[in-house]
Order: sequence, then structure tokens, then C-alpha cells
Amino acid sequence: MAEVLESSYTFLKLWDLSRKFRNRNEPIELKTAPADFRFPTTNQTRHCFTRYIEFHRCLAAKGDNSGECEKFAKYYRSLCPGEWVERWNEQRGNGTFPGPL
Amino acid sequence: MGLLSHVRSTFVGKCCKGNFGMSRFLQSNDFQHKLILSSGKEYEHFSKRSYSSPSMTPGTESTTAITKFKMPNIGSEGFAFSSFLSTVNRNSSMINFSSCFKTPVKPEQIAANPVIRKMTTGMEKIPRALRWMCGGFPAIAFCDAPEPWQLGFQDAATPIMQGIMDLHHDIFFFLVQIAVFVLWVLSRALWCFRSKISPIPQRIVHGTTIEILWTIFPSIILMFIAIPSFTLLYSMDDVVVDPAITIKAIGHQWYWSYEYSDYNNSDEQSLAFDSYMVPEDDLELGQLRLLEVDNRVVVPAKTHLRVLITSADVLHSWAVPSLGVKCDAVPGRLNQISTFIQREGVYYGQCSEICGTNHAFMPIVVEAVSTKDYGSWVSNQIQ
Repeated sequence: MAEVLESSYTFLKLWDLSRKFRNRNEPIELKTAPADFRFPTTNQTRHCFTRYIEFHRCLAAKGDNSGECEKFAKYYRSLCPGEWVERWNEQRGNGTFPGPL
Repeated sequence: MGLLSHVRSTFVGKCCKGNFGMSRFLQSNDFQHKLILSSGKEYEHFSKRSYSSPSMTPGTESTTAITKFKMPNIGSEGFAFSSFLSTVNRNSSMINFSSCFKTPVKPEQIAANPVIRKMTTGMEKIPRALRWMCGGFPAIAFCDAPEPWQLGFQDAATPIMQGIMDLHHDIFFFLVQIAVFVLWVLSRALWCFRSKISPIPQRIVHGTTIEILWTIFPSIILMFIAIPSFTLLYSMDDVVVDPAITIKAIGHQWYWSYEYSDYNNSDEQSLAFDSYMVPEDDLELGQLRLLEVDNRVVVPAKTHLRVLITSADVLHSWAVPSLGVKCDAVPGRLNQISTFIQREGVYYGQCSEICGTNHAFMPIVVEAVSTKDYGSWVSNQIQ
């Protein structure tokens, strides 16, 4: 009995490992925030800012768990430098965020 | 011409035109000397790519030879093949004079030199077919980094850069014609109205017809120059299709940092790195001084890219000549450029806005790889 259990455990471990390995080799999806007709110029600062606001407004409107807002999160993460997002998150925490949320 | 420069570089050993590609590899003048002294060990440096390179490291001798061709900076414009030949000569590691090249080099001349004989016989290990391929195919080696005394452009890798070069050449054609015409008029005026021939100066100070002519004609010429120029200018701003990848380049004093945030699942950056210049003392043989970085920007070739450029401190400028890109990095502002790299390769650039003491020491290296290699690079980096 113990042997069977052990072998099945080994099998499961191997299967899990192989799945991980398979996942690792899966081609990554090449997708990013699309070009937005509202921001056709070289200056994309507002594009990033707007996407950040849109995400948080979406969260406020649809609730945290709706899952509909994820795409906005993807967009702003693609567009905004990490440092900016950190700062804005801090400002939101402190209630000093300058945008209309 | 190709043959001539080949022979010249073989025997004179001087950096002539056909040899430009190689001269970039020379860290010191005694390069060749070192190369000959080392018994094959040094060759590995040639195929070694940067630390973060996603491409495979050479394993066998034959792959070593192959990766050499993958290196992008071997050739020089217009003399790709001849420079390739001289590169091969310098390397000497894959050469079999009699079978690979139809050159005026006689076999016994080579056999007389024991060092070269040692090298060539050493290369017998490489399969013949492979050696033939290495020598027989005209090498398409591009020039994606600056060269000593370079006057022209680096080779284009994007449609925009191709457009810039074409416009430049087109305008230059007319420019030369106008220059010749003006010089001709000037010299004739000086010659025909010199004091010996016409001692009494003419007193004509006004000619309506000629003034109308020399106002209208240049205007028309300028207009004809302006049309393609503006077309190109606006085509640079156009985002034709949705990009597949966004890369953020952030200028710092004095390095660039890059963020690939398309693969993030939270606000935490999963793929971000700094790209510092490799100091001169740490350079390996074959690396470019003041141009090499520790972490290259790896991007897929033949894919629409969006590069967002900003700065964390002062003004910088992200410029890569082969891609036709020069974009200011302004703190608090995101500048977008969209680009499409047409071929795989390593493209070198530098910060192009004076940004302080080490402005000259923050180069940019873009490595364009296949989409598959890019995928594996990303998954490796994220883990």
C-alpha cells in the first residue's frame, strides 16, 4: 500500500513538474496597450495617466472582483513607468492624488 | 575592387577600406599579434555575445564559426564581401584558402608560414560543407555601429531609417547640381570680369528679370524638397498598427533603465533592468569601446514596437542611428516612438542630449532577435 502511495506521489510530482515545464516553454503572448485615437501624438503622458484613472474608476464602479477592469490595469502597467505608478498609489493612499477618481 | 582590397589587407595588414569592419574589433594595435600567439583560445571571444544575450552560447567549434556570422558588425557598407573576407583572414580560424576563395593567394605562400598552417590545419575539423558555406556565400554583414572616420550613415534596419537615407541621397543629388551650377556662375563672373579684361566696371545694379528668376526657381526647388521631407516627417509620427510590445526606456544619470511591463500581473515590475556601459577595462576582445552595455534591450525583429521614453532626472535622448530613432527623454513626460526592426542584429546608440559628466558613457544597445528567442528570453528573465 505504502509503495503504491509513494509511486503515485512520485507520478503526481513528475506530472506537476512536467506541467510547469510545459507552461514555461509556452510562447508568451505579445500583446500590449493598443494605440488610442485620443492620444495620437508623440506625447503619451496623458495616455498613461488616463488609463490609470480609468482603471480606478472602473474598480469604483464595478467593484474589485468584477474582472472587467483588468484590461485597464494591463494598459496602464504597459504605459506608465513603475516609479510613476508607485507614486500615484501612494498619493491615492494619502488622499492626495491629483486626478479625478 | 573587393579582391584588391582583400589582397591588400592580407599582405599589407593595414586597415584599408575593405578592412573597416575588422578594425572596429581591434582593441589595440597588437591585436593580430595576440591572435596569432593564442592557439585558438582567443577565438571564443569573437562569438561571445553580451552577458544577457538570449542566443545560444557556442558549444562546438562549428557553432563557434557560425555565430561569428551572426555577429552584426562584421562588414562595412558597400564593401560587405571584401571586408568579410579580410575579417575571415584576420580570424584565420575558418579559412582554407585553396578551397574557399578564388584569390590570387598561392597555397605555398601560406604553407610557408607555420603559424597560419597550424591554424588552417586546425580548422580541418570543421566539416567541409560548412566551411564552404562560410566562405562561398557572400556575407550580408551590416554596419550597425559607428566606424572610425565614418562619413555616411549606418545601415538602415527600419523603414524610417531607409526613408531618411533615401531622402538624404535624393536631396544630395540636387544639392550637388546646384552647387556645381553656382560655382560655375561664380567662377565665370570672376574670370570674365577681371580687371585686365574689363578695366571699366559695369554699373548695372538692378535686373528685374534675373531677380524674379532667382527668387522663383529656388522657391520651386525648396517646395519640391519640402514635399518628401514632410511626408517622411509625418510618417514617423504615425502609429500605423497597434504595437505588440511596449518598452519603456528611462534615462538616469548616467545609465538607461528599461521596463517590459506587458507581462506584469501586479504593479510590481517583473521585468526591469538597468543597462550600464561596460567599462574599458572589462571589455572583451571584439567588444566596442564606449558602446557596449551589460544588459541589452532585447526586442523581437519584424514586430511593431512602441518605445516610451522618459527620464528620471535631467534631459537625456535615446538615439539609435540604425533604427532612425532619436527621441528626447524628458522627466515627467512620456515620449512615444513606434518602430519596426526589419532584421535581427545588434544596434548601437548613445545618449544624445548633454546630461552631465558621464553623458558619453551611457550607450544604448538594442538586440533584435527572432520572436521565439524573445519569448524564451522574457520567460527566462521573469523567472
